[in-house]
Amino acid sequence: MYKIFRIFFISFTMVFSIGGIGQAITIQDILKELDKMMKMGTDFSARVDITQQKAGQGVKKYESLYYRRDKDDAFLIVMTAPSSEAGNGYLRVGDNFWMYRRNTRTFQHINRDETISGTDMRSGDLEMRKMSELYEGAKDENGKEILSEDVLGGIPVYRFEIRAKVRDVTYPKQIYWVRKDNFLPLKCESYSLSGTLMQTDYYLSYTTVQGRYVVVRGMFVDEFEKGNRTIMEISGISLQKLDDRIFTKAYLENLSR
Amino acid sequence: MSEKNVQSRTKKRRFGMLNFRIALRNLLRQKRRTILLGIAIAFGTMILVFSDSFVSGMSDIIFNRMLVYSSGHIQISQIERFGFRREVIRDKDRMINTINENLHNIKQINESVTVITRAIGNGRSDALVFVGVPYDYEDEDEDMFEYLTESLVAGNPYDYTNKNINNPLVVYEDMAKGLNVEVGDFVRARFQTIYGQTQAQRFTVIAIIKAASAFESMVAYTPLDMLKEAVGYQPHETMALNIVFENLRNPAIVIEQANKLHQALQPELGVIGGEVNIRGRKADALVFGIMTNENAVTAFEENARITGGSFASSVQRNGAMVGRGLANRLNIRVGDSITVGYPLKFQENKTSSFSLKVGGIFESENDILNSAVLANFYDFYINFAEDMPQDVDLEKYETVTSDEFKPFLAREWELLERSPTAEHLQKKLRDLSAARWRGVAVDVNTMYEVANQVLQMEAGLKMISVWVVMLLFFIILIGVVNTLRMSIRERTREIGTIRSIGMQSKDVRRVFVLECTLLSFFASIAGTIAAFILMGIISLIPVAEPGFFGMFMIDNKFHFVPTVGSIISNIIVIILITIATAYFPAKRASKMRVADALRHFE
Repeated sequence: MYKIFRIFFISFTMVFSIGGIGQAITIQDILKELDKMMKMGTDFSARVDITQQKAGQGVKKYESLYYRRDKDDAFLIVMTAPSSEAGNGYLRVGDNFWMYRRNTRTFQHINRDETISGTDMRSGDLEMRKMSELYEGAKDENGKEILSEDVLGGIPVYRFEIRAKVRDVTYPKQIYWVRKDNFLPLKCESYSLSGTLMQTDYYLSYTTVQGRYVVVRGMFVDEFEKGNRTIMEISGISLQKLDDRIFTKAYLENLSR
Repeated sequence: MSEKNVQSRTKKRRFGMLNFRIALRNLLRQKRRTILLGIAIAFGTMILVFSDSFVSGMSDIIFNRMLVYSSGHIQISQIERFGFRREVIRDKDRMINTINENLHNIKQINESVTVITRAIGNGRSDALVFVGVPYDYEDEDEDMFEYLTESLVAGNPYDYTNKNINNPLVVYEDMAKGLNVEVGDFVRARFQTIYGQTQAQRFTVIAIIKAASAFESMVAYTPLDMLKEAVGYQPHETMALNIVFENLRNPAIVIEQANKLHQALQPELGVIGGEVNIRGRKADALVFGIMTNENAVTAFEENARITGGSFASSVQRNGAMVGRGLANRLNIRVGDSITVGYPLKFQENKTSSFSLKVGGIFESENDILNSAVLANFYDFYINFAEDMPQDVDLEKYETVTSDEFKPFLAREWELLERSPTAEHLQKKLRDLSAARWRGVAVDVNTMYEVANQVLQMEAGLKMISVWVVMLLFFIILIGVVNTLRMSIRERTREIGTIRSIGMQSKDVRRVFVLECTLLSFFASIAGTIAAFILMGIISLIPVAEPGFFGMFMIDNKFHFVPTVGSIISNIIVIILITIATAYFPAKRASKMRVADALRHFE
C-alpha cells in the first residue's frame, strides 16, 4: 500500500494549469513555475487504476475513486478493487487524517508523524508543500546550475537536478525532465541520501480538462528492487465543484457499504 | 545456669538423639517401603526443580541474552517530535557523564543504533535488524570481537575494521541462507533517515556466524559509525544509550539505579545565547522558549506585561515576544522580523540562525527577561535541538532560573515519568502522540519494566508448575499417610513396649514425624540430583527442528537456570507438607494407651 499511496500523491500533484512560459530559465524559475502550475484552485475527482507488478509476486490491480479539494487540504480515496481492499478508504481534512477499514467498520485517526498502517509512509508525507521551498538547483564543481537542454522521446526538454534545502523531504536529490514548451514533467529520477537511484517516474500521457493538464498515464519504476513497477491510469476526470459532504466520515462509510 | 536446668537439657538432647536413631532405624528397617515412598517424593521434587529451572532459563534468555544486548539494563532515550517523531540524543557525552557520575558498577555504556528494514540479498529478501557495533576492538568491544571469533562459520572478523571494505556486515547463518548470500556478497537495504529522507546502503558480508538463539538470527552487525552516518546521526548524537551493569540480575536494584538516574536527568532551563539582528542593527541577547499551557500563561502574566501586540500572535509558529529593553535598544516594533544567530556547540566557529516575527513586546521587572527574546515553543525547540547552541553559563543569569519563571520558560527537555510496566510505557507514549505534543522528551526505562510481562510470565509459569507438583504431591502424600498408618498398626505393640519402659507420648509422635521428615529430606535431595542429571542430559541434546521452542533454546538446546534459593525453598515446602501430613497419624499413635498397645495382636 505504501507504493500506492506515494503514487497517488505524486500523480495528483501533476495536475497543471496551462501557463505562460518564462524567458530566463534557471532551475528556481522552473520550480516556481511547477509550484504555480500545481496549485489547482479547483476541486478534482477521478477514477484511478493502479497496476502493481512485483518481482516474483505477479501483478496486482487496485481500483479506486479519488476526490480532492485544495481549499482546506482535503482528499478522499475509496478503494473499489481488489475485493480484499474494496471499501477501505482514506480521508483527510486539514490536519486530520483517518483510515477506514470496511471489515471492522472503524476509523483510525493517524497523526502527521504516525505511519499509515502496514506501510512505512506517514500521513505527513501526503502534505502539499512547494517544491521551490523544499528544493534548490544543484550546482556542478564550477558552481554552475546543473540544467541542460535535451530531447526525450523526440520532445525538447529541460533536464535539471535539484537538491533538498530542508532535511525532511523523502528524496534529497531528484533529476527532472520537463518539456521546454510548457514545463510539463515527463520523467523524474529520485535518489537516496547516499546517491542511489531509487525510483524513476515516467509521465506518459497528459490530457487537458477545462484548460488544465492532467497526467492520465504514468509509470513508476522501482530502481532499487529491480522488477517492481507500477502503472497508474486515470479516467473519468472532473474538475467540477465537489459536494462538501463528500469529505466526511459518514460519506466514506456509506460509500463503503 | 542451675544444675537442674543442665540436667534437663542433657536429658532432652539424649532423647532427641535417641528419637533420631529410632526414626532412622525404622526407615532402614522397611527398606522397600521407604524406597518406594522416597522415589515418589523424589519424582515430584525432580519435576518441580526441572520446571522451575526451565522457566528461569526462558526468562534468562529473554533478559540476559537478548534484552540486555538490545536495550541494556537501563536505556535512556530522547524523543523529538517536530512534525515527525525521531529518537535522537543530541548531546551524547553529556548523558554519558551524567550516567557515570550517578551510577556505579557499570560494565558498559553502549550506543544503541538500529535500523529495522527489509534487506535484499541475492534474489531473496528478508526482514533484518541492522545493529551498529563499534569496531575499536582494542577498547571496550573486546567481548564483541571474541564473540564473533567464537561464533564464526565463515569469513574474517578482522575485516570488520577494514577501511577498504564498504559497510562491513556480519550476518547469522540462518539469515545468510535466507538472503542467499555468502562472504563477499552484498546485502542492500532501503530505509529512512531520522529526518525522513530515503536512504539506500550496500553492505558487504564479511563474516557469517552461528546464532545461539532464534532471536539472534534476525540481527546483523555493522560498524556503528557507518550506520550512524547512514541514518543521519552526527558523531555527537546517538539513538539511545544502553547501560549494562556488572553481574546484576536483580530487578529491584536495576530499577533503583534507574530511579536515581531519572532524578539526575532533571532538565535545566533551555536557552540560546546569540545575537539578534534587525535591519543591520545587532545586539547580544538570550532567547528562551515560551510555553503556552494554562499554568504558563498565568505565570507569564504574573511576571511580565504585554505592552504591544499580543501573547497569542507571539506564540504562533515563527512568532516571538521581545523584552522592552531589547526592543528599545534595537528599535524593534510589533510585526518586525528579527534574525537570531548563535554559535553551535558541536561545530567549532560555525553559527546557525533562524528568523522570528515579533508578535508582541513585553515588560518585566527581571532585567534578563527584559533584554531577552521569548520565541514560540516550536521554533525554539527545533533550533535548540537540531542545531544545538553553545552552553550558556546559567549561574550568571540565576535570577531567571528561579521557580517563578519555571512554568513559562521552556526547559531543555521534558523528563517523562518513569514507567513501572510496559503497559504504562505504551500508554505514556500513546498519550504524548494523542496530545499532539511537540518538543523534546527524555525517558529512562529498565529492561525489567519494559518487559515486565516476561517477569509476570515467569512468575505465572512457576506458580502453575508449583500447583501441578502440589497436585502430584497430594497423590504421593495419600501414600505417605497410608504407609504411616500401616506402620503404626504394625508397630502398635512396639509402641506399647517402649512407652512402658519410659518413652513419653510426645516422643512417639516425634519419632513418626522425624521419620517422615528424614524420608522427605533425603528424597528431595535425591530428586534435586535427578533433576540436575535430567537437565544436564536434555541440555546436551540438540533439537533438529525446534520450531517455536527455538526462541527458548541456545544452540538449539534447552536452557535451564536452576537457582539455589528456589531449590532450597522448594525442599523446605516439600518437607513442611510431609510433616503436616504425618503429624495427625503420629499424634494418634502417641495418644494410644500403653496397656491397649501391649494387648494389640494381629
